[in-house]
Amino acid sequence: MNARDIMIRQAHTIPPQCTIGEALRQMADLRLQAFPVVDEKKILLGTLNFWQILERAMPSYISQGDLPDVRFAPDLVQFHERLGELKPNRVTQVMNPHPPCVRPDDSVLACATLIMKTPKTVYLLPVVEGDRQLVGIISAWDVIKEIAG
Amino acid sequence: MHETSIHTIFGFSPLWVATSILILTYAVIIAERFNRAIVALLGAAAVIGTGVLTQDQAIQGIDFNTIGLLIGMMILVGITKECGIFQFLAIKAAKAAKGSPWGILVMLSIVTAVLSAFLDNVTTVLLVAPVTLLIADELKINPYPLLFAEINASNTGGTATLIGDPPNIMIGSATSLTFNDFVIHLTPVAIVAFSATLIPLWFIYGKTMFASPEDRARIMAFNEYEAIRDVGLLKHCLLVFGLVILGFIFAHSWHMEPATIALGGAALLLLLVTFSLDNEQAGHKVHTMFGQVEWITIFFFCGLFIIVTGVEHTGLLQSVADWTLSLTAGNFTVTTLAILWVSAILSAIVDNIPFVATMIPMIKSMLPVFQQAGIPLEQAETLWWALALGACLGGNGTLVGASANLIVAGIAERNGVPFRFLPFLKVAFPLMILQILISTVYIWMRYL
Repeated sequence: MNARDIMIRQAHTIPPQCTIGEALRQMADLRLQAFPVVDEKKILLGTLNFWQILERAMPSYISQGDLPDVRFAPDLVQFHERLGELKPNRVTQVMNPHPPCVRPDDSVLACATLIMKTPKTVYLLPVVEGDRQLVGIISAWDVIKEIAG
Repeated sequence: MHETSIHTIFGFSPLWVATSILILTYAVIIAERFNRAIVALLGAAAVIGTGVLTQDQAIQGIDFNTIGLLIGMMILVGITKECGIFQFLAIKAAKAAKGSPWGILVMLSIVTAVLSAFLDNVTTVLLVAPVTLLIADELKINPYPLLFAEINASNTGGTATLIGDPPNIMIGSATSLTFNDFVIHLTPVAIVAFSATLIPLWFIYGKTMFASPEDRARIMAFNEYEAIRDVGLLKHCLLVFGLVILGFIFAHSWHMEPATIALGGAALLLLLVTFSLDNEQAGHKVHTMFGQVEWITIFFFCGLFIIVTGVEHTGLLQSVADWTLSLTAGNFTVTTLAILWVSAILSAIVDNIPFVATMIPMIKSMLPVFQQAGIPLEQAETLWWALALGACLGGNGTLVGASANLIVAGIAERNGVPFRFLPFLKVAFPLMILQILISTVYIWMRYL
């Protein structure tokens, strides 16, 4: 079984001019944690996931683990202010421009290995051909379904 | 001078070989190009390899009381920090100040100073600084003054006890001075130096610090009890820490060294936290906890002890001590104050650990000279207090004066708060001079 066999062909993508605020709204509406960012020729420019946005909006003493737990604070004004400042910016500012990708002929095991190695950032694996032409995506769920049989 | 069995090494006297190794090692450590533990261990290997010391002599030169005390306290702190008590105390302090920025500066400084008196300074600031950044963010104030005050408080608090700062641990271990001696002789001056520092800090930063009632209300809405992540662990830690502190207080009458107490406490706490686990889980837990020990520091100490033993063995330190005494004309007052001020200035510039490691044998060889001159032993011990005060408080003078300074600066820089050498120096150095002046008056009035 290869990536081609389990990938979703009609993946939801966002264009590079999309704002972070708009991407967040789409994530909420579509209940998706991540999108591929592609140009009009479906060339993969990067991937954007919720974790990347959270990391940027959080003060770095939280995102970098200096303060592992903030349960004592009912809310953080800094987080909302930083998120507010972040929302009008384009997704290209936050996205990962060099995400781990697979080829259609790669095995499911190769996809599972990539997800296992970077579980925090891989909410989707883009499947690309040629010069980063996006042909589909694979989520962790697709791999789980295949492994579960 | 110790007797040495080797008269020349490659045609050079052991004194020159050992001195060259010491100077070269210290120069490379100061250059900070290579990890200091590697440099110290290479220096130690050179001391043995060139025949300045035999391996047995080198091993005997390592002060295992210092090593044991450091490892024991590192394990205790490594376990304790997991329960969230440090964050609890920081938030409690901020709320006690009713969210007032200056009040928070004072309260966080007190918390930092008290914690640093009993724990490793680096760990203390590593845990208090992130909460400070969050508090400053919520108050919409510049965190720099709070972090600056915490650096100062950490080094000043560390001066107060035998276990507060590595120089004190080394001095305590090399002498018969007890935990209680350090409390009696150093805590009062540390409290005065800490309090006095707050006055200039008020004029430099405090006067202009302001937060709106809405911002202050956000601090008051924090629930510090939510910061405690593991109540069971907290109870174990408090119990063991209580026993360890009692142990330090009564160590002398029980004829025990602080290392035994710290390592015994660490073992007891490890037993308590792994008691209900199966063998495999317990093994994993103990492995993780031992990983909390800063092995770089430990091996750095081992290497330094061997290098210093090498130069001591060849008689260099005795010669330098004699030369120092000739400079001060054997005057006890001048010698004491010279040790205080030279220690402070040098510790502000270079790592105080190698400096103190070198000074200890020198002061040891000065003591008999002063006793022969009629100075009672208790008064002669003032030299140790001068060394401790100079070496610990000297760390406040510059950004590179102590590890805690660099740790806070690193956390601050990562969060967009610039901590630059010169701006820090402009405020910190005069404050350090103030603290050394206070120490001078204290030593003068109490001992001289």
